[in-house]
Amino acid sequence: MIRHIIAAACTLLLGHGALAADLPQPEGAVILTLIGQISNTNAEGSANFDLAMLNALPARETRTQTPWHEGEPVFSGPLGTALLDAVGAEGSTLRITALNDYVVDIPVDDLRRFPVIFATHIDGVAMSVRNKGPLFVIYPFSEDPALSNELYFGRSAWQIRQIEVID
Amino acid sequence: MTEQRTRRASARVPNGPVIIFLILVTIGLFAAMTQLFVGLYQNQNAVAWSVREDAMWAAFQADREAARLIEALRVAQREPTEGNISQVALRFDLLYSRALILEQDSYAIKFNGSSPVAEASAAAYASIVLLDPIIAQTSAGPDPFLTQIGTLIVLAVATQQATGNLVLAANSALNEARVNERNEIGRINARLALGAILIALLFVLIVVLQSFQLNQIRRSRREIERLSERNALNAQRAEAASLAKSMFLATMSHEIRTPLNGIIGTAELMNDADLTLSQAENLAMIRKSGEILLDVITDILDFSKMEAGKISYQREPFALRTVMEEVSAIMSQRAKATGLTLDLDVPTMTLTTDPARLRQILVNLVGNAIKFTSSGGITVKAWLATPTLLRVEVSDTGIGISEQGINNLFQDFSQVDGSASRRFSGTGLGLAICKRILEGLDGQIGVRSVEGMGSTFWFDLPVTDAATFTGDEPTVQTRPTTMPLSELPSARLRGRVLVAEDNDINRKVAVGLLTRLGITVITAVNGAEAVAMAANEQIDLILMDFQMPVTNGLEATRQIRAMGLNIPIVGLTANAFIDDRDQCIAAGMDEFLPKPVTREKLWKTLKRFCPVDVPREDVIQSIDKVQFDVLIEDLGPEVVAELLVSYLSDTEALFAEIETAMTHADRAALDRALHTLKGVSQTVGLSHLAAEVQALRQIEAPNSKDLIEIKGLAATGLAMLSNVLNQTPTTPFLLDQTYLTKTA
Repeated sequence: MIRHIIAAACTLLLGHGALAADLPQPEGAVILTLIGQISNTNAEGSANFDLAMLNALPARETRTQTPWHEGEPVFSGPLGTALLDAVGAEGSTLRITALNDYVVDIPVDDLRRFPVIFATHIDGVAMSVRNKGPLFVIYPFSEDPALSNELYFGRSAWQIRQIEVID
Repeated sequence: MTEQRTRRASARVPNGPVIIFLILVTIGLFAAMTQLFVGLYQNQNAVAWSVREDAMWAAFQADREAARLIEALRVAQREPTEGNISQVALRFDLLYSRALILEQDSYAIKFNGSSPVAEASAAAYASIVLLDPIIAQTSAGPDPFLTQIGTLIVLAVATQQATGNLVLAANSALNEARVNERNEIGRINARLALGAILIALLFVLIVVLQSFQLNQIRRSRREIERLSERNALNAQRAEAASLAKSMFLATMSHEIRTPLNGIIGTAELMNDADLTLSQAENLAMIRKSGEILLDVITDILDFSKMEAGKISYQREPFALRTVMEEVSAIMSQRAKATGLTLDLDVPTMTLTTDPARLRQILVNLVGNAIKFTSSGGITVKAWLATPTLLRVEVSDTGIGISEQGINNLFQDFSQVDGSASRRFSGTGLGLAICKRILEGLDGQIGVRSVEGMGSTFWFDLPVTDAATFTGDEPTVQTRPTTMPLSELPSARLRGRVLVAEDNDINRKVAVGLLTRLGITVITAVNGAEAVAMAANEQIDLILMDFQMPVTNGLEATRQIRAMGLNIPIVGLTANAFIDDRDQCIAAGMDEFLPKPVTREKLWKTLKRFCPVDVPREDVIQSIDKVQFDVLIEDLGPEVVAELLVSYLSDTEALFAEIETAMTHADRAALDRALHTLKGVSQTVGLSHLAAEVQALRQIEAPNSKDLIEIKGLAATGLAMLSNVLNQTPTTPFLLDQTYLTKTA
């Protein structure tokens, strides 16, 4: 926990420029790898993130219904745009791969039009693999009725392990 | 026509309500369909929600993860490396996350609570959960893993069997749900289609009915148009018929008046002939009947002229009293004959309205009052109710009118009741005429009456320029201007009169009447002849008929005036109308005489133009013809002749007595003689003489001059009586001429 706070403080103090120059090395287990058209990396052609790095990014809380949850839980995690900024992504599509090799493409435009987050927590609790963690794409379904359809439900991938930025 | 209309009406009745009913049904159907659509929409939403996560997909994923777990287990069995063992843990975590989804309530809902799916789902979940503690044990390292691997594979295979069953159950449930859903959609579609068809049908029906109604409206409008056209035509025809009727009445009235003039005139002529008393009475009856008939015809003529709209009003300034007195003059004779008094209470004033119409109304009202009054009197009162409204009231002491009678009193051709109409003759048009006249002059007429107590007819006549005089004109009581017929024989006119008249009878009557009046008469049978005679002969006056062949009266008058002759010309016409009067004055005539021509009318008119020969005014009134006629009737002419002889000798003696008494100033003897003279004079009908003698008795000292006067009265009176007696067809009574010379 203290580590997280320090990391967040560092992010704020160092600012975007420091991050843009280079990504820090993950200290914990890598849960997300970004590849493709990105300019900031911390490995050969890729950007690896542990939970602490993700939690250090600008985040959002989204309270919404989903077809896979009872009630209206509160999801929290880094904003999609923040993540893309962090890696200096230059592309129009994100190809997302889940732990079970489920693959889905999300237009980058979605992330700009809607406050899409890569949720790491549900109701304040970190999501395990059994609980569709560690990362879950959450659109604000309850905030925008236009999102409540199969198209966006399909893009709401869970158990994400890799994001490829492509054209 | 009636049948047609009835049929149309019966066809028309249900349309409106039916259309309203249909519209209501349509609205109902719309509501039902809207509800269907809403249901469909909601259903769609639910379906959408339900397919958010394809349940089938979830089952399949679970099955796939189970298979991959078995695969990972076999790999780890062959090569029990740490990486492979942790791969087993990840695979199990993924399978477990699938199990959690299967366990969620919403998953069951997706299959509509289908029990085979729920059972299979529960079995798969249970099987997965069963693996959890063993997997947890294997995370310690390769050894514990290898000890459990056999169990793990058995359980994983069992799990895949369970998830396989779940896939099959989900698939069949999904198929069933699809079929159900399709059926449901089919049903909804069928219902929607039915609703749409019904609405379409209803629309068609409404349109058809409305076009029907439109058609009917158009038809009835056409019918109304046709009806109104027909009504207009009918009204036109009725108007034309009414006009024709009025014209016919006017013509007929005129045609009837001409021979009637002959009848009345001839009766008048006969009156001068030697007649027995009963003949005279019959003649009087003829005359009276003729006059009534004439009144009736005049009424009808007036009324029909009003109906035909041929009446005009001529407002001019005049003296109210003059008009009132004219009326009084006309009517007082009739009133007196019935023993009634006729009093005027009229202020001296001039005002502007139509005097002829005022006269006509008054004659009507006073005539009515006389007709319905047997005793008492009639009073005519006039005053200005406001500076521009003349109020006139004609009150009588007659039979009065019942309340109901008042209500239909002013209606055309109305008489108060059957019994009254039996007792009182008349057209019943008089009051209707009065009402019309007053309406024409913006006035009002009304009546107050108590049955048996008399009536008061009033009318309000708008006037202008009313000016009251005090003193300029003396207030005169009723004065008779008509001379009693019985007194006329003594009056004589002098002059030479030209009678221009085409009708044979009327000409003869006029000639006869004029001759009786002492006039020398020459005649012409048309206007041209009259003009020629006026130019060549010495004529004092011309009586000119209006309607004559060759040249009519008006034209002839114009020609005579054009020649510069100012001989008095009196127009004669059967149309007693203001228009005619105006026409004749405009043509240059001096006077206008409505037919029938009577001696009375001739006397009244001609005496203004011709010199009158009257012995003395008082002599004219000196005999009581009624009394004398009664005598003749009762005693016979011979006895009356003897009576006159004895009266002659008696009066001679009485005059001697009176003279002696005067000389000796013996008042008692004088009075006794005068009293006797009065008595005998009254007996024979010398009423005036009797009155004079009575007056003499009141005088203190009558002298010989008075005696000479009464002697004169006696002489003339007796001469007149003998005249009358001479006209009876008996032995003529020859008055001793010496008596006259003696007394004169």
